[in-house]
This record gives sequence, structure tokens and C-alpha cells, in this order.
Amino acid sequence: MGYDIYYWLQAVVNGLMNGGVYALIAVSMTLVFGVLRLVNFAHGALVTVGMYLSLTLFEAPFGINPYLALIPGLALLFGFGWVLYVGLLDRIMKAPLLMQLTFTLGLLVVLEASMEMIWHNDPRRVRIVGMASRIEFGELYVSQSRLIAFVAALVLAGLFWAMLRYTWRGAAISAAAQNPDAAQLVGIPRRSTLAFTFAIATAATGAAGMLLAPFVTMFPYVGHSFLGAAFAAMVIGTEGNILGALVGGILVGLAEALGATWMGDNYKDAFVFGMVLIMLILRPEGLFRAKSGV
Amino acid sequence: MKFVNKNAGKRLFAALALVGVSSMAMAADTIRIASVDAMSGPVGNLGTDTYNAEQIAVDEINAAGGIKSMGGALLELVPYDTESKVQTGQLQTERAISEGAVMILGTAQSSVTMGTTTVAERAKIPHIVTGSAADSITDRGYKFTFRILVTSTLVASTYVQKLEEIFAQYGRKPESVVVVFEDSAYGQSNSKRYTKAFGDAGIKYQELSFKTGSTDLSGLASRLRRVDADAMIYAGYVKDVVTLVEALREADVNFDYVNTSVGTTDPAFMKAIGADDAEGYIGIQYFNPNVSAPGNPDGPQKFYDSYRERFGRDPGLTSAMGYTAVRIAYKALEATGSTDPEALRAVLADLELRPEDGHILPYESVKFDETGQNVNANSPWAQIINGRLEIVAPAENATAKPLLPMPTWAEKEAKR
Repeated sequence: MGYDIYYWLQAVVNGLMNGGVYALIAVSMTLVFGVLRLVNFAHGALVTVGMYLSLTLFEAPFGINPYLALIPGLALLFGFGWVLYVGLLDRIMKAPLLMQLTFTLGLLVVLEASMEMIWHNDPRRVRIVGMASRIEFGELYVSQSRLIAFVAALVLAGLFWAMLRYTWRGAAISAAAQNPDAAQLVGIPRRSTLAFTFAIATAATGAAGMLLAPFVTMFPYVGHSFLGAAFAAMVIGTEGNILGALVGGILVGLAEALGATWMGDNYKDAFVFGMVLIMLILRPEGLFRAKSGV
Repeated sequence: MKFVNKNAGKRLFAALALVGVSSMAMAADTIRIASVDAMSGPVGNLGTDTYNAEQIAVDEINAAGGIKSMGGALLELVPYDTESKVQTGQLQTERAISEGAVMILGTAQSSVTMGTTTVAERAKIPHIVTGSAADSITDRGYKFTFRILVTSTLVASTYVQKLEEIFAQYGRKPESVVVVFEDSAYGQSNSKRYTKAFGDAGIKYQELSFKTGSTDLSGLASRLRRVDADAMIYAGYVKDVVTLVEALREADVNFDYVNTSVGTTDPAFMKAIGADDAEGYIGIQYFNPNVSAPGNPDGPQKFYDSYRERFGRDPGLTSAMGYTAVRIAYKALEATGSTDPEALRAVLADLELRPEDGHILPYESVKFDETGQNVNANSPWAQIINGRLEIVAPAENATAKPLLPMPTWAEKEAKR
């Protein structure tokens, strides 16, 4: 099998598309880590929740187009995130690290089992009939749904960043990230700020799932693969750094695709995490060392 | 059913319980058989589909008066979920035996069945294998293992024959194939057998591999886009097949013939891909309601109808194996008149499940050779034609003429 330039160029295209979605997942994960100081293993399951939400809205009697479904979807996911935080996570914010890890791991297991009970373990997919499958340019091609996901994910990640940078809520979140006690002293309500942070992160993560639904085979445990990619992206981009996570996500997507082309599909994960390991040794602070993450 | 007690004490209890199990079962009005299968986890759909069918057979038998030679004792089917895991499968088998099961039925995965049959063999409890094809399961000289399904070797050795049969109907001969395999033990052992079979038949072949459970196979698809071959062969589970077919669609990859083994014929495939996009794909189908079992012309359709009526969907890949396993268990119990494991084993070794016993598979009867392998087992191929699964090979089972070449993506899109 030849390794001519076509394979590499096509791999770059494929990798970029995936990278955009990884970026959105990593951005929300890094926010949760930076502000709540929480390593959220359930993050992958939130991607899956988004996918099934898209499927449910799509298959409902009134059948919403999966891209239009993003509007009610984001609101529903925001609400879900808020409830998760206020109902559960808020109770363990002051708990020791091991307890927090166990808690989010447990949340992952419970969320996935619940999805299996509701939607069963059959592979599912949101099938949009009537949309062109691909756009071709010369010998290269890009899948239309992947292209939409890429653009939408970057737009959402951009909005996310702008919200943190330019709104009062964003300033409150940044303050809470930098010094939670001082933030509380100057009148920033701790609980609702953290709840808002987690809810907006849940919305972003779930939105990534909704964007994936038209081209990724969904089943209750599919989120695991995105969890790994998001961790890698977050670490590469320096934990807590939004723009870093964005770049990290795209790099992970590219590394995966190029690794698959170079070493074969079986070794792409090993290639990505091999890179992460090397980077952790050579540059443990990540690519984007920043004073304040968010 | 997911609770697994890992205490050593439990095992001791299991051993103690074994001693008294046959007398306990005799005293009760019910005879317990265990469905040890994947009811959750990655292949949870397969085990569930099998267990569902087992319930149908049990209810039929009980409604007809139970086991007459044992005073009308009723069959009791108890599910034990392996969670698609080797270790859980073993523990659940131990638990089933300790809870009085006189026979084990299962499982959907060869790797798990390797463990469950070992536990059953040690405890001297008959194990009827429903959905696992790995040769090694019946290669170990086990006395208590009986398999209904074909072996992987048989699947591969009849493969070229069926492939040539399909191409011959269009005056062609398959000259080159590309074999796509997943990196698990299942995919690799299959790939080896196929490539050997193709090599022996003088068919040009090349291999590509991928990682099972991948969420994105666009890299693989971009390679396949450049492969020039008459046929694409793939062996793997339905989730991977759905992902692969989606990647083929995105990359506009077309072959005249694509066989995705057990993936295509899983009802979940057509549901996820959509009947129009699934058109033309070929795969193994052990049971088809339109293929009458010799001597039992209505049996297959009757089973199919009761399955659909009760569970609201089509039987899965190995559902018919589950139904058959219960029918075998019943015939053995009726003939033995007791639950003595040694006596049951001896009866099973000589047993023949015939049409009048509720045999619904597309061959004469089920009977086992000295390794415990069903000597008549076969692996017909079905193709999705006009949104229905039709058997296209071997010729004696065929319900329709194969579609060759299968429609391209451009043709499918033009039809929408």
C-alpha cells in the first residue's frame, strides 16, 4: 500500500474535522478543571447524553433536524448540567481528591447504565436523508456532516471563550477560578457561579455530542473514546487554558489521523498518548503555560 | 442479575451445592437451566436476543406439559449476565451451577465461552454452546461441551465456494478481494483463515486492519477508496460494521460485493444504517424465516412470528441457536428422565434434534460428533435485497438471486 501524498493530505483533512469536535469537548473539560478543580470522568458520558438527545429529538413525532435541535438542545443540556451540579457535585466540592475522582467515575458508570436502560445497547445513528454525503475537491473529500461539526464546534468554542472574556458572568467565573475565597468576599456567589460553570460546560460537551450524532455510531459507552482525546487535548494545551484546549483538541485530531496513516488504525491512540507522554516529560506545563488559566 | 459475589466462601458453597444438586432438582417441580450470556456490555444485544428466544422455547415446552418422564416437571430458565466479560462469565457460570442449574446455555462471544465451558467441564455440568464459533471451544477434549453453531474453520472453508457460486451466477469469477479485519482475537483468527482459503483458491487478496470500537474509520475508508478489488470481506461486530459502512459512504467507496459477516444480518444494522443505504450488503445468517427447515416447513416462520409478537423486533443473529439449545435440553431431559449430569451427558452425545423435536435451522438435524460439535451446522449467507434479508448462498437454501454488483453510493443517493 503506497504512502503517497494523497493519504497524508486526506489524513490532515480527516484529522482537522475530528480535532474541531475534540476541541469543543476539551474546552469545556478544561473549564471544569480550571474553575471547579474537578477531574470529571463523567465528561465522556455527557458527550453521549448529547448524542442520544439529538437522536431523541430527531426521532420524535415532529422530528427536529439535528442542527436546529442544537437550540433547544443547548438549553436542555444547560439545565441538566445545573441540576447535576446543584443536586450532586456541589456536595463533594470540598471533599478529598480521591473521593471526588471516585464520585465522577461513579457518575460516569451510572449515566452510562441509565442510557443503556433507556436506549438499549444497539448501535444507533441520526440519519439525515437528503443531505449530500461529501464535498470533493480533486481527489480529496470531506464529509459534509463532519465539516458542519467542525465549523459549529469552533464557533461554539469561540462563543464560550468570548462569554468568559467579555461578560460579567465570565468575569465572575475567572475570579472564582483564580481565588474562590476572595471572589466570595467581593460578592460573587460561589455556588451559583460554579453551577453556571458546570452547566455551560455540560451544554458545550453535549453540543459536541449532538454534532457528532449524524456520523458517529452511538451506543451508551461511546463517550470513552472522547474522554481520552479530551484529556490529551487538555494536557497538551495546559490544564485550565481555554485557547490551549482548543489548539490541543485540533492537535490531537491531527495526531490521531496522521498516526493512523503512518502506523495503522490500531495504533492511533498509542500514537496520541505517546506524544502526550513525551510532551509531559519535555514540557510538563503544556504548550500554553499561562499564569491564570481561564 | 448483575451482582457477582467474589467471595471464596461462595465457591465452597458452589462445590457443596453441586453434590446435592441432582436430588434437589428432582425433588422440585421445576428443572433449572441457566442462560449464561452477554445481556449488557459491548455485545449485550446478542445475548439478550438469544435469551429472548430461549424463553419462547421454554414457554412452549411448559405449555405442552413440561417434562413428561419427570412427572411433568417444568423448565425454569434463569438469566445470568456475563456483561460481555470473560471473568464475569466464569463467575456467573459458577453461580448458576451453585444455584442448581442442570445445564448451561451460552454465550455470544468465543472468548467468554472458553471460560464458561471450562467451569462447566470442571463441575461436570453439560454446556450447550449457542453463539461462539472459535475452533478451540470444541478442540480441548471436553466431555460436557456441545456446540450448535458452526466452527470458524468451517465458515472459512466454505467461504470461497459460496463466493464463487455467487459470482458464477453472473458469469464472473472473483479475482481479487480485500480483507478488512479488526485487531481482536476474533478478527485476527478469522482473517488468517480467510486469507489461507483465498490463497489456496488462487484469489488475489490484501489485508487492512483497524481497531475494534473505533469511533471514526475515515482513515481506513480513504485507503479502501484506492483499493481495486472485486470484493471486500470484513469480519466483526455490528457496531464496527455500522461505523465502517458510514465511513464507506462518506468516502464514496464501492465494491461489487461486500460481506460484513455477522454485522449485516444483525437487525440493528439495517435500523442504524437505514434500509436504503444497507441495500446489497451480505452477511452470515444462521436462521431465516423464509428458509424452511427440512421436515419442519412451518417451524421457522412460527418461531419468527412468536419472536416478533413477543419482543417487537426481529430475532437476532443467534436467537435461533438459543431456541434450539432449549429444545435440545428438553429432549435430553425427557430421554434421561433425571438430572444426573453423567446420564445427561451420555444422552446428549447420542442425541439428534429432528424436525418433530422443534428443529428450525436450515439443515436436516442437530447432532454432535465426539468433540461435541454439531456435524450438520452451516453458515448461509443473506443479502439485503429490497430491504429484506434474503438467503443467496448456498444454492440449496437460497430464497433469492444475489444482487451483483451491489448498488453504488451514487445509485443509492440518486434513489432518494
